[in-house]
Amino acid sequence: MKVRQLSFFLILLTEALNGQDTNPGSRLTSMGNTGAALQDVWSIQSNPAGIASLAAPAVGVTYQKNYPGTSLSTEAAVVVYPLKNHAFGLSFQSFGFSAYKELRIGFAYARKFGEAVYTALDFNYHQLSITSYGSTGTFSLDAGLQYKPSKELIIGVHVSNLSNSSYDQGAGAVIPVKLAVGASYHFSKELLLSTSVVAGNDDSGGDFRAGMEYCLLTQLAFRAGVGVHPFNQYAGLGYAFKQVSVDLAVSNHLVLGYNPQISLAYVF
Amino acid sequence: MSFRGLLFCFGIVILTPEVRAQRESDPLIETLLEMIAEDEQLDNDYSELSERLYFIKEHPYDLNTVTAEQLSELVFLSPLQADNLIRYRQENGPFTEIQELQLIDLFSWSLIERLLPFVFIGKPALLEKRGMPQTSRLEWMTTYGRILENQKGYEATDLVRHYEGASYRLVSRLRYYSGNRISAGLTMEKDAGERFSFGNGKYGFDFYSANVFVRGGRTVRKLAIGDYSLQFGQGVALWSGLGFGKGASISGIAKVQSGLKPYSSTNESGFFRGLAVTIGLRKTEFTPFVSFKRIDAAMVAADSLQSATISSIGTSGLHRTVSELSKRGSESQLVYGSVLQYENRGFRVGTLLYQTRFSKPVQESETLYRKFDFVGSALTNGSLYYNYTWKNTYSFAELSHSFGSGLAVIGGLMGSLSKQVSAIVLYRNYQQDYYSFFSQSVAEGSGVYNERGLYSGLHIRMNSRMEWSFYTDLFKFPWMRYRVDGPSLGKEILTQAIWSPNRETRLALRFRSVFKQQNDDIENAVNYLVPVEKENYRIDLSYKIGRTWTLRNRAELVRFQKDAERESGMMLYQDIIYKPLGGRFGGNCRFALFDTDGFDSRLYAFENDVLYSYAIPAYQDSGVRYYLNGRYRVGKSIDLWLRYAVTVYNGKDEIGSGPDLISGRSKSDIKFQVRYVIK
Repeated sequence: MKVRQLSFFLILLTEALNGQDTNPGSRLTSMGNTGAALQDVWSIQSNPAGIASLAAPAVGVTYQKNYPGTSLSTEAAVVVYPLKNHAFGLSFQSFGFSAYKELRIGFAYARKFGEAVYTALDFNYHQLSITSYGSTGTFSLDAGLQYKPSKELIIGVHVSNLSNSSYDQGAGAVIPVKLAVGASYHFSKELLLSTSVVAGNDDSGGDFRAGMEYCLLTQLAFRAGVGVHPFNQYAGLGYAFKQVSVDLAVSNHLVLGYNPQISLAYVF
Repeated sequence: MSFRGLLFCFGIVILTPEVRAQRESDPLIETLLEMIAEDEQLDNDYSELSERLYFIKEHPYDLNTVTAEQLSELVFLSPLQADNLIRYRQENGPFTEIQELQLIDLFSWSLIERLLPFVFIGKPALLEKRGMPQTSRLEWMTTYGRILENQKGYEATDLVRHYEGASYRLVSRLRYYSGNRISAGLTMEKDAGERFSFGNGKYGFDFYSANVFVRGGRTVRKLAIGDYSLQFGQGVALWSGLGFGKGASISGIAKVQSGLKPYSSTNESGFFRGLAVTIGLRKTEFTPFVSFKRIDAAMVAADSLQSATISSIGTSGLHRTVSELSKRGSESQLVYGSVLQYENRGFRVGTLLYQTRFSKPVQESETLYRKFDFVGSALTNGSLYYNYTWKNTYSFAELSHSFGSGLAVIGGLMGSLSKQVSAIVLYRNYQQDYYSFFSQSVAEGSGVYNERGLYSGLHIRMNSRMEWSFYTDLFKFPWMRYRVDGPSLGKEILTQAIWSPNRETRLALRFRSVFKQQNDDIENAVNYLVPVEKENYRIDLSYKIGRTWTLRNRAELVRFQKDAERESGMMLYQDIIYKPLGGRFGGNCRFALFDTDGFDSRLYAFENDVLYSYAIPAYQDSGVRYYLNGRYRVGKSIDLWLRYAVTVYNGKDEIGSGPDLISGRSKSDIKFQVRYVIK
């Protein structure tokens, strides 16, 4: 019975993880993980094309506690340096616990053409290490595009693992190829809505996600979102003071429960 | 004033309220009811709501005196929109032009168009005291209907399950209105299979309901003698009569109470019979009520160990067989209590306390999933509720307690985030041992108990032509349920896009997906839970040709999966609606094809019917269904309706089961209705 429960849990866990292999910080997470057509420093994790929109260098760190009752957690850090029409970014992410770690290190180059077209390539190194089993690693390539036909609307597309890379056969972990297509729209100064459709080659099925951000004040924002498959509900809030911003997020998985998350960002 | 003047100078679209001379079935009200009823898929009796909407249309509200509660009767207005209208009037003074509605927040063109038939602008100040001339009106309506094929229950072979009465259904209603203030009603019904006879303690019809209702007094604001409904708060503790749950209309999820109401439905349970009054003192209202009525109860006879107890309470109101007749009115129910509430500028807070008492104690159920059902002879419920409109948000909550057992709570927040976007989030937590006999609130399960859930919805009106709504609901059931031997969970997703390129055309696309857990189908004392998924895809199209013809289509697909077992179904129909302006004759018909694998993949569709009647039958198995409705106006005060509907199944030689069994492959019914109005 114990084994049965454990395997059930693991199946659910894998399903859940496939849905959120890269963590795009609290803001984008709480907006239903709909980063394909959103632009901020964390875009490097959701659609690196977005970092070309940054006017000044920025850094961000995040910590997410994964699933109540486990010692799993996600930590990530990002740096973006824009240079005229170009932008360069570095990202680092770690997921797991002491005996099981997944690492992802990325270097992104993004370029904008006018104020309408943003493109990016992202080179990643993935490493999986399991205590007393050893570790394995591989490289992958992501690509992203964002199109901003008007001040309010952004349409975005992002392919992760375009190179279809994978770990050694024996590792038992996959790096899915994923395609995310999304759109975001500023309905007013206060309200931003964002949606995306995500499909992967990992039998996770397609996901539709929707999220929103409502700025009550210029510094204070409330966020919420949902993903339908796997079923997740998100909520969060952000506070920006001068160059520093603090963002909180919580996601609720249908079966696995709550994941709280906190992020800090600084814009130079 | 000058601002208004300026506005008209710039020539805002001039709204021309359509001539509201018609008294016959109104396409607008039919569309409204269809939209509401479509989402419910329950055997609700919509006649009460329908009657009320027709009545308001004939006695429209004065925009300058209408209250938020009256506006809530127009089910298509969200509480936020209703409060915005009241607030606009408070801030800008009385309405002088109907065009001003366009200036109110959240009032879109299509909403105003819907609202117009129900409102007018009254003459200001001087004439106000005299008010509208008091028009009185007497309406008598009788409906006769029956299934044309022979059903087994009417043959004299099976004595136990034999239907004692004739196979027709007969409903007769009498209504009297004196202006907007006094109304009286009498409803009489005999269901198919029930007896219609006099003598031996029988009084013709099987069900009688009557009431006298007075509203609009200064202190005695409402008074009901006879049958009435009570709707307070969010319905967690006290809500009888029609209520709505989750539907494509996102804002409809917040309940808007209408307090004390006359009862005029033919549903034979879930109402109050006695006396109720609403006494107002400035901003405070007090509603004491008492009700006593007979109920249908199955009994466990007394023995040496215990006295007689009630084993179950019937709510169907059907008294056709010997067994059903033996329960008829066998016990009684006494309900009494009161509601106290305070209202001020978009803020309302209230508290209520009432007791439901039975003539014999209700015994504990032997089934485990019903372990927390009510037991005993009296149940006391108390509740505290509020709602508040602040800027562009509407918040509401209710906390209720069934004394001696559990708690139930619901709370929600609705906001218009921009001119185009509104969002809502609603949390509910009903403990498994909470119980109330008069509750109706947002729930996925069958009642207001044993459920936790979080609902979130979004509605976007891109422009006057396009709108999109989307909601998700996550729910958990902490205790077992019917066919679910363990705590379970589930989710629901609905999304709908509507495109109306012009006033005459409307295209709607809808997707709905529900996931739940249920027992597996293996014969066992205890079952494991397996996932159950159902997905519906629907396309609706309606368009008008000229001024008198409307055509409607629907295509719907359903996919059902329980563990490894799959079912699917489809339906396609064509409706033709003929409605000449001011003509003597009007009518509509449907031709539908359906093909479903079975019960789990059945599909529901709204059907037009005779005036005030609405049906949402299930389309199951495979076959063809068509119906024809006609209306003929005999004279100024007499209208006739006729309906014929038939379903012909493929490859069946009998339909239904038990006493309802029909041999053959078709089932048809007719309905005849006459209405006589004296003004």
